[in-house]
Amino acid sequence: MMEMTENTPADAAVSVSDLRMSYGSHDVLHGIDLTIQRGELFALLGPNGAGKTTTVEILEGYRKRSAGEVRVLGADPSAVDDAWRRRVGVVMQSWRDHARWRVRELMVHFAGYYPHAYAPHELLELVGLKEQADQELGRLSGGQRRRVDVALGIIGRPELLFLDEPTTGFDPQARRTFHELILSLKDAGMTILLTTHDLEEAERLADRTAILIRGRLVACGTPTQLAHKVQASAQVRWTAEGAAQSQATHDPSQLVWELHEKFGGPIPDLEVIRPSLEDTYLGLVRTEGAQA
Amino acid sequence: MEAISNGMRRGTIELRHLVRSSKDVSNYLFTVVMFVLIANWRHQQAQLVIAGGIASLSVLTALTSLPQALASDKMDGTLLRVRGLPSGLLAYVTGKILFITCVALTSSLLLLFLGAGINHSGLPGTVTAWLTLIWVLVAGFAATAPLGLLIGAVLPNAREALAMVMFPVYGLLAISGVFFPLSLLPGWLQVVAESFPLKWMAQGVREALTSGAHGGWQLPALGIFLAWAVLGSLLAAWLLQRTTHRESGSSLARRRELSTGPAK
Repeated sequence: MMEMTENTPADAAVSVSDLRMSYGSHDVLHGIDLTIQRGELFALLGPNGAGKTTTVEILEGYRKRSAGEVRVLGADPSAVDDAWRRRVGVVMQSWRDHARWRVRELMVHFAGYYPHAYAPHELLELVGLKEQADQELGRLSGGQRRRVDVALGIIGRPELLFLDEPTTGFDPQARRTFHELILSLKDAGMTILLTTHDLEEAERLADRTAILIRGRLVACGTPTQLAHKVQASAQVRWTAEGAAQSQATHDPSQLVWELHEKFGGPIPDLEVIRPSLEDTYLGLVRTEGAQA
Repeated sequence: MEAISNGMRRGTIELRHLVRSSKDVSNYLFTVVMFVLIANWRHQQAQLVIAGGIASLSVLTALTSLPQALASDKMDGTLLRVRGLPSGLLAYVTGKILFITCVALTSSLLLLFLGAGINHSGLPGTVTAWLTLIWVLVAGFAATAPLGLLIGAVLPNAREALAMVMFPVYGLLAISGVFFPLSLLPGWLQVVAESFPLKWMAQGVREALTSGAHGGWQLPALGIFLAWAVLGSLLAAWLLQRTTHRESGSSLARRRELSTGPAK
């Protein structure tokens, strides 16, 4: 079923072109294009208020767009049926629902809505909530509550999972455990769209990352591609005539070649420092912010 | 249908939650006891008050408890969560209706027996009288529950829902022959009362308790019940779908911030 060798937009999990959203005269999304392949873990990264949640809610079918083409699992999410819902899992930013239900009780109930649902005990194990199975949701800690949200998002074994800021408020240990869970879902073949304002999270988890700033996608690609796209310059350092030298360049390879020619041999203390994704991202947030 | 059976399971679980909570149980018991006390105080009219109370409990549950439950489910994200499930909204409404019907019928029956025991308001004496009691309660409830759904769909939050609904509902109780005979009211107010289901429910229960000497009320009652049930259901289905579709995670978060003050 998913053994496509070539991924054209037609069989992509998500394809979006020129997506626009405005509330009254206020434009929130200014023409977004993106494609997410099946099996991909795609991160939508951006500062708070960039339009990430709006984008995801449109893809989830929770919000009507103002303009643009959107296909999610082959359907327009603004008019979807139950069959589509069964294939999609949603974990939104903040839930406080079903406070009086017990964890296992809610999982057993939700499992009844899907044909191939996870067995609740299996799911409790997977998200590490076995000990809280008989607790009411309203009494769980923030991190435990978040794991219930994820459990309910994946309970129907969706093909596509939306995770909106899943680790906000987690301590480092909980975050690590959570990341392992996400990666194991990806390994099981699930397509995942993750939104985050945490660059490290995107870098650690995602195959590809798109950076959304003020309603525009400013860059999209693998971490390496992202660094290239923003054309941040690499630093080349070496020692000449007893002094440390350094030069910024978009083409470090060319510079190193020239230095080799000049030295006619090894270059003392040569170092090429590529910009980290963090430098890239912060650079983007700065420039885009300044333009607005 | 799968959604219906999911909804039935949902309703059953919520009933279990209700029974587990002594606070909720005593809330519902309080209203029942209130009618017993009023009947005790107006003992010449005990039968009228108990019959009116039995009818009123259904209407109160439908028009106050149901909107409150709905508004709080909207507020805390339950409705939104349910929307992400296949046929989730249908299952949700099914569950809510099962829940609220059980609560309404249980409180009505409880008052029937408490009234008979304490206020000597009597029980239906014949099979026909029992049937009258049942059809009037069920049809009257079916006529008012959609209105409750509708109110819950429209109102912004649970506290407001209660405040906005209590006043008109108790006004309706006052003019529907629950506490004193309808004939004491001016003619135009009687006409107002007659256009709502409660008056007919109260009358039907009274007929059942006295084993029905009067006739002729059944047809107009059925007409009013049907009209409210059909119009209410259509409007409620439309409005409920509309509000649920307007809900989103961000509007939920925004409202939560407004209601709890600035976060952090």
